[in-house]
Amino acid sequence: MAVLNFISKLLFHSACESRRSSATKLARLVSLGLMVVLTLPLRSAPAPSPASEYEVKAAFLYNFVKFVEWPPKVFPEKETPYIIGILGDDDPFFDPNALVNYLDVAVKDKKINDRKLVIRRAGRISNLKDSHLVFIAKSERNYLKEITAVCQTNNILTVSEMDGFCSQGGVINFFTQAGKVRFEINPTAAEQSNLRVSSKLLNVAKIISPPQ
Amino acid sequence: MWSLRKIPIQSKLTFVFLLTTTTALLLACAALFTYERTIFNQALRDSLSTLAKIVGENSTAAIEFDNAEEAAAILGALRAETQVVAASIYKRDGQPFAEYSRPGSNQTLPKSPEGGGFMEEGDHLGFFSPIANPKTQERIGFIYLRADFRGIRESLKTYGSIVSIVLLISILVTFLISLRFVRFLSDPILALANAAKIVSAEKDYSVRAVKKSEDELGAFTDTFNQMLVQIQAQDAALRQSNEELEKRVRERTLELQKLQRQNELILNSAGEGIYGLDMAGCITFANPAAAKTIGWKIEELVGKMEHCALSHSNAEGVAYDEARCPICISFREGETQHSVDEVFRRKDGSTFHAEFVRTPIVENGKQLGAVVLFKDITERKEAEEALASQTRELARSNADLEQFAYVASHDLQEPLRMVSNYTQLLARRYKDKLDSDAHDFISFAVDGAIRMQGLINDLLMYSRVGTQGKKFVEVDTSSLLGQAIINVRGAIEEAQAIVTNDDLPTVVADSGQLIQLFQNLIGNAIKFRGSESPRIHIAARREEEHWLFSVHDNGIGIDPQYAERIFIIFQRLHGHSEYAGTGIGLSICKKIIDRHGGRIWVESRVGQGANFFFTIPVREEQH
Repeated sequence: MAVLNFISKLLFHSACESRRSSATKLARLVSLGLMVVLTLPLRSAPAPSPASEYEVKAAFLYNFVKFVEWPPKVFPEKETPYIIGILGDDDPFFDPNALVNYLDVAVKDKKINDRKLVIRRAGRISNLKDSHLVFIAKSERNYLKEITAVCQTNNILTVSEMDGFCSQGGVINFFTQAGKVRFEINPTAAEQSNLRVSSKLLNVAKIISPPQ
Repeated sequence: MWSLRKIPIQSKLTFVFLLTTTTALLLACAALFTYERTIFNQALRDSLSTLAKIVGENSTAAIEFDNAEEAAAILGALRAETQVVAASIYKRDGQPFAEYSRPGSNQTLPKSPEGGGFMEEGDHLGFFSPIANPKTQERIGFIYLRADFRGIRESLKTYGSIVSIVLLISILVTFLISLRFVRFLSDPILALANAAKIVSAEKDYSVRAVKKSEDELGAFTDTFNQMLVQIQAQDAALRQSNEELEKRVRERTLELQKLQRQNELILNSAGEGIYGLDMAGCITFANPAAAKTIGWKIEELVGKMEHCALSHSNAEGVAYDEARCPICISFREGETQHSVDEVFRRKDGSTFHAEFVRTPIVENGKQLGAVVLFKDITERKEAEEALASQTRELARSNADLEQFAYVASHDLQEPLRMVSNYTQLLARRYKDKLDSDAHDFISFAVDGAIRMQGLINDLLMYSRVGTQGKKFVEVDTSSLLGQAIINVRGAIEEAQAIVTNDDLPTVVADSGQLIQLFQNLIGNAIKFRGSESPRIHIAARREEEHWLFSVHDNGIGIDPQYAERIFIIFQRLHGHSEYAGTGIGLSICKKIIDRHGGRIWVESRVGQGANFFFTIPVREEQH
């Protein structure tokens, strides 16, 4: 897809430079035709998503908001936005800023239940207490207990990508299966945070029951 | 429809019944069928759109979290919906995401969402609907559902079979009903038609159609029968009048034959020559007398031109040229001609005088020819000529006689006067010398001389009527009568006679002679008076072409056997001793009236007075 975009842009720019309106139209038509021609075989045989793992995860984070209900008290005002927090530091496999960028793109101009979405990044959970959803990076592995406790108190939906996150009190945990991003949910943890998770979401997730 | 005209009325009616019923049923079934189909269709659409909504909503998470397995599972639940044969979910970018196909059905699903809403695809109904997350109202993908029409088809097929069976049964029942009902209509019509056929074929007007119903057809049957009654009556009347006509024609023919024979008889036996002409002047028939008179045979005459056969000549015997022959010309002008003096030519060339009448034959204002009737008048002509010469002779001798009588009476007066005068002189001068006998003789002689003088005067007067008459002028007879009365006043006074008269007319006559006439008649009445004083009345009245005058008296009358004699000269009925007079008076009257072209006579009986009549023709004054 990137190649395609590159070609079309190239054609577009060269046309712009050489001639004006009619040439522009022609270039657009040509690029459009190329797009169609090049897209057809891609559609008939779908390849693994070329989108990056965090781009997908950013979309999923936004989607989780749609399938979860928070208690009313977390929206003091009618227009209080949903706040998605990113908690954690850089590490060789994770760039929080990249995720923030993806999220910004994903939630731009979007509204859920007439509320805007706001992305916020912090290094400490105390700075994200007014968030509704917090993505916890792997770097916070050692502070999970404290983080989940804060989140449970503040009715924050916790999402992470660590093995065993759900069994340690997390609500949603990403994992990769056959090259695809999947997630598991711990409904009990959601209940403890006083969150209601849609059955539809449960249907597409792997359910984790906490140890008795 | 053309063939419908030829089939019998019964079948036609049945056909109409069936057609009507079938059409109504078909229309009703079609309406029901369409309605059912629409209802089925709508129900299918409703259920499809509901399903799409539910399935779409259920699959929102699966789509948004890119879980194709879950989406396929959700679609797999559609197994419970028997109508749905296939389903598919597409992602927002249009790429297929999950598919479902009913096991056993080989379905090819669209590669991408095309259009929207319902699409009829042969046996199937497809439905595309976008999927949106209810919380964001954001379109996240599409769902496509495909339902099978077969369910509907099956239902409609069953429905159709039921309708067909009902239709068939209805048509059958209608047919059976119409078979019975049509007879109510067609039987009277057929009966009528049959009756009409018999009437037309056999001219038998005594046939009557049987009335089978009380409706319009019944009324029509009655009318038809009435019509037949009238026709029958008219037919009978016509036959009768025909027979009468034939009888009359026969009678008339007989009459005509009789008339023909009579005509032939008349023609053959007529003394006059008769022949017919056509417009060309050709002789068409001739009778034996005609042929005999002009010396031709009948067969020769017929077909000959009249002018050639008779060659008309004028009175001098000069033959006319045909073009100028007045007879031929006027014949063509269509006038009836009558000629008493024509010259005809016989076959041998000799001529004869003929009288002929030529009458045109005109029919409907057009002249067809003429009939000519002629007579050889040679003998009559000779007789007429003989008579004319005798009359001339007689008139001459009459004139001689009158002249002689006048001269004689005039010349006789002179010697008679001498005898009378000298005899009277003798008596006067020798009165004393002669004895009584001599006196008697002389008085006899004088008496005779005076009487003779009277005779001569009367004779003179008589002859003057013929020889010395005046011109006829208009005269008032009443003033003439007045003059006559003055002239005989002495005699009237002596006899104490009363003369009266009515209004008298003005006539054209010789006034002097009329005065003489009245004088004579009045004098006559006074002379022959009876014991009473005479009363004389003169009257006149118009009778056709003359005035009739009457002079009536109350005298002694005349024996009717002498009524003619009294007008003859010198005829007397009485001796001189009884009534004086010469016996010429009434003769003069007769002569005057003769001269005026009238007539005089007397009607009387002895002792009952006399009534003298005379007539004077009405004529114009001659100048």
